[in-house]
Amino acid sequence: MLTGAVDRVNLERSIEKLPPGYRTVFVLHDVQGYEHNEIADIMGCSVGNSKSQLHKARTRLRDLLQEDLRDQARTERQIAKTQTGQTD
Amino acid sequence: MQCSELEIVFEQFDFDSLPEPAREHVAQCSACQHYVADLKGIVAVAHELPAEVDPPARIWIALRAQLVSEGVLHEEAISRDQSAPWWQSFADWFRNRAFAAAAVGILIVVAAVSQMQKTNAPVLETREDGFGPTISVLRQQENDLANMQLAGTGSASNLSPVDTSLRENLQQVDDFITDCERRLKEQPSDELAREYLTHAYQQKAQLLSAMIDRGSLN
Repeated sequence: MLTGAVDRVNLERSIEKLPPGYRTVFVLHDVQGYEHNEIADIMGCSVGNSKSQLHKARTRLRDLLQEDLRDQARTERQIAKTQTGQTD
Repeated sequence: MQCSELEIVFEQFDFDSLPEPAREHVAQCSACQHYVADLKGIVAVAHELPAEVDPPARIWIALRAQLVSEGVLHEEAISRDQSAPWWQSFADWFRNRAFAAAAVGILIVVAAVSQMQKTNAPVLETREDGFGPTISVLRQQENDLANMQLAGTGSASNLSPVDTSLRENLQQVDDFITDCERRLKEQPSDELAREYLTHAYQQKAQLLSAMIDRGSLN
């Protein structure tokens, strides 16, 4: 579960990894506050498609953030292991 | 209702206005509770991110007044622009296939020219094309940004992805400006090049403002 572990830095990093279509819809809706009908006009797609893309973008971000957290935990474990080895 | 069925519901409804069957399922399913909590958390943090393409009004007001005084921007265009974000005009252009093809062509030329030149020559040269005051406004913004960077804010060594993206975008806009200026110098009556250049200057002003604002927040 991600709650409490998401911050602006790792979210920005994950947004950069999104495919362009997902990224555009996510930034327009969740960062800049545009409504789905406005996004549909901008991107020349249907409102339903905008909603669908947004949900997929959020889900993909969740996966990316979880992956990011796992990598961080792995790195911290390795650092701790290295430090323990040096102490012994 | 099953977890897999909830996907379609999540696509169509806000988390706070889910239909009753979906709410009942979420209340009983810890996996879906975690899922909803995670997505809500992501949305909450996203709301805190700066909207990088929304420039401070002061910059655009100054630049627009300058463009109007130069006769580059007309009142008609201003009233149209006030009802739509700046980039919507680009989206409108690209709905027209001819403009899209022309834009792609220009971008290819820009890429090829920049590749051949491989130079960091100053983009804003003094030219007899009537854009002098606009260029001065942009120069001032560039100086402000450079001063902020010298003062230690927004250092290149620790840039966020958004800052990196802004810098890359600025470089692309600078390349595009260089190409438009060159075309306008060769053919001063080329109205399309003048229009592209006007929009490129607007975009540059907005990018610089966004970068300055981010720098002052750091």
